[in-house]
Amino acid sequence: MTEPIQSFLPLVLILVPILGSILSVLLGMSKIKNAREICALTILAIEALLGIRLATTVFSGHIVASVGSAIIVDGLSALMILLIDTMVVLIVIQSIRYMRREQEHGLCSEGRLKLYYALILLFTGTMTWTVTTNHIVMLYVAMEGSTLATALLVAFYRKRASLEAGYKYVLLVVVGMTFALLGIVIIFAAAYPHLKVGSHALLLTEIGKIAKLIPKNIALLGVAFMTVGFATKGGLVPFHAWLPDAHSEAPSPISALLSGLIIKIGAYALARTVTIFAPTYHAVMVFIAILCSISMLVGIFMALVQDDLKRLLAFSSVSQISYVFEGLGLGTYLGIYGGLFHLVNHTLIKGLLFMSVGAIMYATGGLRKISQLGGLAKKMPVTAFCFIVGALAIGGLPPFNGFMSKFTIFLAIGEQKIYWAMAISVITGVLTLACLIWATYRVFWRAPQAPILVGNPGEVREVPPLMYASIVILALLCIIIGVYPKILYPLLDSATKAVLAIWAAGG
Amino acid sequence: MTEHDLVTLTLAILIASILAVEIRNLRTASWAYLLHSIFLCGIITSYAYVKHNESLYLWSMTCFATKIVIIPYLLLRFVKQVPQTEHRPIIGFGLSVVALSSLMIIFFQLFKKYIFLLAPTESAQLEPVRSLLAGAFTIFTLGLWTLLTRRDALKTVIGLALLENGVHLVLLALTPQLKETTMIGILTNVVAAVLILLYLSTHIYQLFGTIDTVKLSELKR
Repeated sequence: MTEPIQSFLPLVLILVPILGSILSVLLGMSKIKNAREICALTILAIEALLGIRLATTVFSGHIVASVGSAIIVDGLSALMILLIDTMVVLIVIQSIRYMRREQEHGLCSEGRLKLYYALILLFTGTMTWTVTTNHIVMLYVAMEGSTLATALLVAFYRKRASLEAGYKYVLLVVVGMTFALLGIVIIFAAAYPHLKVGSHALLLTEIGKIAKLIPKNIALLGVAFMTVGFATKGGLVPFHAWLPDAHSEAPSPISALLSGLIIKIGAYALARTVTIFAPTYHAVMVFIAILCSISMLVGIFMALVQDDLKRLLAFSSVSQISYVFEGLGLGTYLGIYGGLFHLVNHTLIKGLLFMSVGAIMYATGGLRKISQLGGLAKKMPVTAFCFIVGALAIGGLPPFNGFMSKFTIFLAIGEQKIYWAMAISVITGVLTLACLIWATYRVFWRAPQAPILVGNPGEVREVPPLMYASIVILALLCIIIGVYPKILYPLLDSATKAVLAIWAAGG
Repeated sequence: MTEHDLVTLTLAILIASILAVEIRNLRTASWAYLLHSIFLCGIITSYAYVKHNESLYLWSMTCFATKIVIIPYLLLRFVKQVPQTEHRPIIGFGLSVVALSSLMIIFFQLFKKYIFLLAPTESAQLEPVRSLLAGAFTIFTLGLWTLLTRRDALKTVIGLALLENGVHLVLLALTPQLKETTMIGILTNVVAAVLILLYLSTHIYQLFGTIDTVKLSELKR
C-alpha cells in the first residue's frame, strides 16, 4: 500500500455541507427570494467540485488521509463520494419545483420547507463522513447520524402514514444498528490484545491486519451481529419492514435519496467490515448468500403484487440491494467488483425511477396507484422515455447498465460454485424485468383510468424542464454506462482493490 | 469495593430493568428506567474505581447527564401527555416474567460454562466480569423482548434504551481498562434517537389519540 497523502480536503468535504445546513436555516429566515434553494445548490456545487478534485487525486493512485489515519479516502470512498454528490445535486434540482408545488397544495408549511434543504445538506455531510472514516465506531456514529437526519424527511408531510413510516424507520434502523454496534464492540475487544502498543484497535485498516488472529467463535459472532445491523440499514428481508413504508411515504425526491443512497450505506459498511472476514471464513459467505437469496425472492414477489408504484419500486429495491450484498459477501475480486458495479448502477436507476414517479405525481396531482394511472406515454413523452430506460435497466436487459453489473454478479457467484444462489439471482432478474415491464405498460400505454387523465386533454402534461432535467441526466448515464462501461472500469477496479487491500495487509 | 459488590450491582440493574419492562403504569415504569440508569452509572463508576481507569469517570458523567437526566425527563414529559396505563402487551405479565427469569438463568449458566467463547482475555473470563457480561446480554435480550412484545410506544422506547445499555455494559465488561471504551460509550449515545422517536410519537398521539404501535398498521397492505 502506498503511503497516504495528508490533506485537509476530506475533512473540508465533511464540514462544508454540515456548516452549509446551518447557513441554509439562517438564510431561510431572511426575506431573500429562493434563498434556501440557491444556498443548498451552491453548497452542493462546491461540495461536488471538491469531491471531483479529491477523486482525481485518489484515482491517480494515491490514498488521501486526514487527522492521522482516522479519515482515509481510498478508491471505494472516492467512488462513493462521486456517487453521493451526483445524486444529491440531482435530487435537490428536482426538489425545487416538486416541493414548491407541495407547498402550494398546502402539504407542507413554509417553516418546514426551510428544514428540508438543511436536512438534505446535513445528510450529505453524514454520508460523506460515513464513507471516508477509517474508524469503526465513527462509522457507526455517522451511519446513525444519516438515519436521524433523514427521519424528519421521511415524516415530512406529518400525515398519519408519513409519521408512521418515520417512526418505523427510526425505530427499526436504530435497533438494527445497535446490533451492529454490539458486533463492533465484540470485534474491537477481540482485536486490541493482538495489536502492538501504539496502534489503534478501532481503525479498520488495523483490524484488517489482525483479522486472522481473532478467535473463530468471536469473529463469527461479531460478524453475525454486524451483518444483521448493516442488513437492516440496507433493508434486506427479514429486516426490511421499514423500507417500503419509508420509501413510499417520503416526498418523491427523498425516496430517490433513500433508495439511492441510504440503503447503499449498509452495503458500504458491509464491504468495509464483514468483507475483512469473508475470505477467512467460508460460513460468512454462505450466511450472506442465504440471506440475500431469500431477500431477492421475497422482495420481487412482494413487488409483483403492489398497486402503489412507489411501493413496487421500494420492494424492487429490497430485491436489488440483495445483489449488491451478495456480490460483496463473496469476498472475491469479481464478487466485490460486481457488487460495487451494481451499487453504482442501482443508485442511478432507482434514483431515475423514483424521480420519474415524482414527475408523474407532479403532473397528475399526486396519483401513484398503478390502477389509477394509464396512457401517460403520449402526455409525458420525456418522463415515459426515461422511465422505460430505468425499467429495462433494472430488469437487466442489454445494452443498459443493469445488465453489465448483474451479469458480473452471476459470474462471481458461479465462480464460487454456489449454483443454487446463482439460479435464484437469475430467476429474480427475470421476474424483475417482467414486473417492471408490466408496470410500465400499465402506467404509460393502457387506456387512462383516473378522471383527471380521461378528462380535458390539456390538464395533464409534461413536467417543466427543471423537473425532468435530473431524470434525463440519469437516463443518459444509464445508457452511457450500459453501452460504454469502460468509463467506469478503472474506478471500480480501484474501489475493489481498496476493499481487498484491507485484509490483504494481514498477509 | 469488592468483587461481591460488583456482582450485587449487576443483579440490582437486572431487577430494575425487569421492573422498567413489566410495570404497567407508564409513569412508574419511567421511574424504574431512571433507577436502571442510576445502577448503570454506578456500575461504570465502580469499574472506573476498581480498574483505576480515570477516563471512565467521564463516561459515567455523560451517562448521568443523558441517561439519568435527559432520557427520563423526555419519557416523563411524554407520559404527561398520554394515558397513564400501558396498552395491553402481546404477552401477558405471568408468561413474560417466567420467560424473562428463564432467560436470565440460561444466560448466567451459559456464561459460566462457555465464557471462553466470547471473552478474548483471561481477566474477562473471571468474576465479576463474567456476571456483568451475562447481565449485559440479559439486558440486551430484555430490550429486544420489549421491542417485540410491547405495543406501547413508550415501552418500545424503553426497550431501545435497554438494548443500547446492554451493549454499553458488554463494552464495559470486555475492555474496562482502555481509554477508547470511554470514547465509544460517549459517542454511541442513543439520546438523539429517543428524542426523535418521542417527538414522532407525540405527533402521532395528537393526530390519532393512540400510541399503540400495533394500531399503526395503515401501511401494512
